[in-house]
Amino acid sequence: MYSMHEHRTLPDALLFVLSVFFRKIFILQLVGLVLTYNFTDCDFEKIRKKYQEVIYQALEKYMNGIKSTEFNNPIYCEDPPDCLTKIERITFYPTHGCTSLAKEIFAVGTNAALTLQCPGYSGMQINNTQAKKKRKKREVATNKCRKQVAYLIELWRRFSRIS
Amino acid sequence: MTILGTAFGMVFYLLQAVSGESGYAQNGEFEDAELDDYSFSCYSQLEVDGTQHLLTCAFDDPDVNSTNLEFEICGALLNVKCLTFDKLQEMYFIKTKKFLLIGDSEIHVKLGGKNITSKKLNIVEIVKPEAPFDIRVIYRKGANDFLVTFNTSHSQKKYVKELMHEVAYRQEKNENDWMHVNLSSTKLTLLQRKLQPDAMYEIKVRSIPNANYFQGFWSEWSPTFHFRTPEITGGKMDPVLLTISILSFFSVALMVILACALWKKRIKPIVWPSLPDHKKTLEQLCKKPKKNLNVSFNPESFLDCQIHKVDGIQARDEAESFLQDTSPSQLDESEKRRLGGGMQGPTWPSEHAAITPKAFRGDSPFGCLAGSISMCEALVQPSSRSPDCGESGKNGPHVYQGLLLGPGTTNSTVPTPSPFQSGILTLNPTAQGQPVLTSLGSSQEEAYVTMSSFYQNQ
Repeated sequence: MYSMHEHRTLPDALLFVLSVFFRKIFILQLVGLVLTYNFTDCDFEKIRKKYQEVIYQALEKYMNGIKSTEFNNPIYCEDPPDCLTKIERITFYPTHGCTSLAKEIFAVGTNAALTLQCPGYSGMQINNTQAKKKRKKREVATNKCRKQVAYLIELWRRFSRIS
Repeated sequence: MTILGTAFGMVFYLLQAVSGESGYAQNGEFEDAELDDYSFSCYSQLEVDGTQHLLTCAFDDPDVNSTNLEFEICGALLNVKCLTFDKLQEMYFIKTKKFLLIGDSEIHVKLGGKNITSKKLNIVEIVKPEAPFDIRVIYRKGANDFLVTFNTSHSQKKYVKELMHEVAYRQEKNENDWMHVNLSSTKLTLLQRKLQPDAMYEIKVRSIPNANYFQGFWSEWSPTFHFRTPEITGGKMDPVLLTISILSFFSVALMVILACALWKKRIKPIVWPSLPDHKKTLEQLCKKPKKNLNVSFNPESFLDCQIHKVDGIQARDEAESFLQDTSPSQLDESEKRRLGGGMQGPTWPSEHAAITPKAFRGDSPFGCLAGSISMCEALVQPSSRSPDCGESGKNGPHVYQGLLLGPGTTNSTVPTPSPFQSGILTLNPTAQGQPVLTSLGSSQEEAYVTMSSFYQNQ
């Protein structure tokens, strides 16, 4: 009888742990959905003009003559909101090997364009103090970062064609 | 108590707020519209020095005492929150790369650190392009127009590449009479016919952003260019064309004169040939290479010829044998006279002679009509004897120029002579054994027909 009681305790404990775990995951996903901005209501025409006149010049200057087609860029976005979502993610969220894109000129311009033309978009708080410190260390644009920027150029081109 | 205190506080607060908005200054004087004294205007120039941009501001009122005043711009900047202007005389400017060019900025006028007035503006909406330069006017003679070209520094820039240009031109003596042309390219064509000839013109150009994303103000005018329009040639023709026209005129005139001069002699006979004169035609037909040939229808010219009276057409053999036996003899004078009279009169003597048409054909290209007068030009061969009839010693048929006479056929109708007719003319010998060609028996009408037929055969 003692072993039967032990057998009933173990599955219950397991179920309890898993339920808590899955509950947290579910909650986190809900939070993510709430916190992720929906770019559906943005003024795509004005964002496109800002890209063509200002952001594009900054992206080309960052690449410093290196063409984005030299990198294999298998990236694609379905519609303007999807393009802006991916642009925001690549621009402002660091990746392994490239953590400093957010302070670049094109990133600041992208942030300003999204803030102005997307109602409710709070923008990314770029810490200028940290930017100054990092400038002291002078992080050079790595190949990884150029690859990320190449992705951005492709996404922006796709966006300007379909918006 | 609490409620009462709150009420007093609110009243006090309202009083303070109202007194502040009315412009009540500390010195006790009313200074309404204090902000208007410090109104200012700004314009931006992008990439004016490499990658650096220039922002220039100035007070609208030139009498403002700007000794301790400062300008500051905040917002829409890269990596900084605010930037302070530099001052040059009465102008405030800032030259930097840190303009974001997206979003609005605020420009503050400060006095001793205190903000006097502010204005929100967008740097991309107050762009003032640089003035165009290198304006030139080239006259194109072939096209009768003037090609105006100019240059702008914005064609090499990254921002503000698309501009709208305004070209203004006028005649120098007409002040304030400017003509304006708007264009987006840097080339303009002015038609010569729309300008005054032999006049001095001046021309200038300025630019403004194309209002696609960048907007702003007109640039300063370019330096003025002066040019003179050519004189009108007044119908003066091209020398080559003039030469060709004169030559053509004289050629036509010469042709007209020649046509008038040669109309009767040369042109009219070809265009409107006249009917041939039979006498003259026959004389021409009877012309022979020999110069000494004397063609004439005068019977006296046949005095030396043997004249055989032609009586009718007999068999060829008989005639040939007869002709072989006959010998040339001189014609009697009386016979000649008769012959001559016979030529004019209708009667014929009974005597007649026969001459084979074959012989004639051999000697002449046609046969002779029996019993009628025929004029044979081809009968005479070089060996024939028309002027030398008296000298002929030949045997064989006699070839006669002039008349071939047929007996008694004046009133009879005779057929048209045919070169292949086998009939012969018979010759009756005279009493002296010499055949005499008797006088003409055909009427003048028959002779006329015969001659026309003869001419036709020819």
